[in-house]
Amino acid sequence: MAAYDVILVGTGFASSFFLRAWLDRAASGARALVLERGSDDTRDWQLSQRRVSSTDTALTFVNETPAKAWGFSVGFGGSSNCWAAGTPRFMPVDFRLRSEYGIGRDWPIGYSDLEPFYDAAEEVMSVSGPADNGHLFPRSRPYPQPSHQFSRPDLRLKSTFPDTFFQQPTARARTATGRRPGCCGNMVCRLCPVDAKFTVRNELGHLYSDPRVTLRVEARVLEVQTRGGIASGVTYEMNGGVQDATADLVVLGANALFNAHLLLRSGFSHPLLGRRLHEQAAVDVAVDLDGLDNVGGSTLITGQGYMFYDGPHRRTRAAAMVETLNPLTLRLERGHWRQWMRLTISFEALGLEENHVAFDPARPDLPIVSHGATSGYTQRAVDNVPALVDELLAGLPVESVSIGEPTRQEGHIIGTTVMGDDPATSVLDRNLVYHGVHNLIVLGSGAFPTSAPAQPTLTLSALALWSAKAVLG
Amino acid sequence: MSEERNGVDDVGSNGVAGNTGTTGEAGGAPRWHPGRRSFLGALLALLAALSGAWGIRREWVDAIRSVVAHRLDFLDIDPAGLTAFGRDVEHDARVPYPPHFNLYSRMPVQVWRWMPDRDALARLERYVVQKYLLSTDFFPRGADESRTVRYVAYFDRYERPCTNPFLRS
Repeated sequence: MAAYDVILVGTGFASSFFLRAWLDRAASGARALVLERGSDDTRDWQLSQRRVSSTDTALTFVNETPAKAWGFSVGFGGSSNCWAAGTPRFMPVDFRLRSEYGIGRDWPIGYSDLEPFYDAAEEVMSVSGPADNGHLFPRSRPYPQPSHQFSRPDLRLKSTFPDTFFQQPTARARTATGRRPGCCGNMVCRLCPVDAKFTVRNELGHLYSDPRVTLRVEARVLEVQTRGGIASGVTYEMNGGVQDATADLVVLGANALFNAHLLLRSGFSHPLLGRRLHEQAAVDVAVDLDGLDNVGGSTLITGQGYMFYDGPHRRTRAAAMVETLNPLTLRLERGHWRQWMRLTISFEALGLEENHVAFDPARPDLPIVSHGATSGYTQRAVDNVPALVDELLAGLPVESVSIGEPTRQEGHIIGTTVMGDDPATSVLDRNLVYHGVHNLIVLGSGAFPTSAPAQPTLTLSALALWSAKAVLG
Repeated sequence: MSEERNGVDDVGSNGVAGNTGTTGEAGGAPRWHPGRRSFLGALLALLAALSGAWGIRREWVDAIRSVVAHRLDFLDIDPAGLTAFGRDVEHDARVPYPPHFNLYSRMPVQVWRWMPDRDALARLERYVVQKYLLSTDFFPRGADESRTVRYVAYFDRYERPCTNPFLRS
């Protein structure tokens, strides 16, 4: 049986950031085994197929509530292949929602705990961001890259909301890094034609060539093995055979569906394991403008608005975050070609215990996913969209507005392995260690006790670095 | 933002125009009596099946050119360029051709809005017209309607990245 110092499951953001931290600390003879269930779909393959993965994610789980979809990508690099690269931080108050507003749960750590790790994650991703949002997100240093350029409608919004509307922090590079070019506004970020957005492959792919690392793709972990209350290794399937590997440390870095399912399949039985599955709700809004061209925006998502995010309303309805987008779409009316804009308004959600991931012995390979309930807290915010839109667009020459139905998914899977200080009310401790199993770490947004309306990727990446520091020293 | 709404498909699939009427296609179509509509649909399906058997793909390209000429009839379009665009559309696997297009391609585009598949035909029109305009010098020259519109190259962000004409304010 092969023995390693650490076994990591998955090659997405969380695993790769943890691996980076581990390599920084590991001796030259240390050994890491990384197991990726998907394929290594090269960038040439992706471009030739115009797909980010050869794995159909719909076949990787059972969705018992199809009205609610779940977006992610399977394969080397995980969902870094398909993300849009929005990288806002959470606001300090997002970590203490219960204390401030009596809603949801507090995190066991605060913004100031995570701030140095936000910095480090932004540095790795070469995040581009504005210089004027520090009053919302206290920072110890500037963003690594300058901000992207606003569109003309964005500039109007900025003049109306100078303290709450900013260029979106993003890992779509504003200027070239050593490994990727700057974004040139192709507006198809899922598979960037020029590789300008951060992916594991383009910025962290070198980690997997380190001689201390053994990467196995198309290797699906079947079980986390434990002995005497410690994790001893994993059993995995590859090339039609089943193999075991042992390690001093086991780190799960798959997404929140697969991490929870693997633990349940392995016999872990915390009553909250798999529970509180959630993600943000969102509504798209299309606005026809009268005489104002939507030009000048240098990337797909240019603006991010916090005017409806925090405040006393959060006692009764969810925080909302606004994004302005510039897809390369025309308004097919003579002379009005670009006189339109698109918004997405995202809302925080609460982790309800009836929404869950389950293990079914009759279908052991597939997480059974059920999400039939939406909290009244979130629904009240969604119902309030028309009022928000009226207030938001008051300074713009609006011809007409069309508000869409809530979207089916936002590509953010949250909950299922919630962190906290009390083992009775959380699955993981504040360092993402499974309560009672000191050498089993479960990374990712599954640990989030609550979801802010902001995208979770930067926060889960920072959390991986936080966990590595706590566990590895 | 969901990646689903920022899909990989090229122009026409990553916007919200289809949901919002921002392209002007929505509205104006007549209501159809269900029985009359289903009868016409069945008839169209039969004719489409027959015409498909004859293999009349050439009409598809003619129809694409007609869509552009009809929807942009206020522009002076370089005819050779439009022909070249039609040829290039043939190689685009992402064109959202509706069912029965063998039949529709032989009809005047002006009557498409009365057909049972009018929503699908409208999607096709939207795709083709956007694709054409973004493939020309129209926007780089300031959307000047007084100049002849010339075809530059088929607009494909993977084949010709970094050609977004709206980056400059």
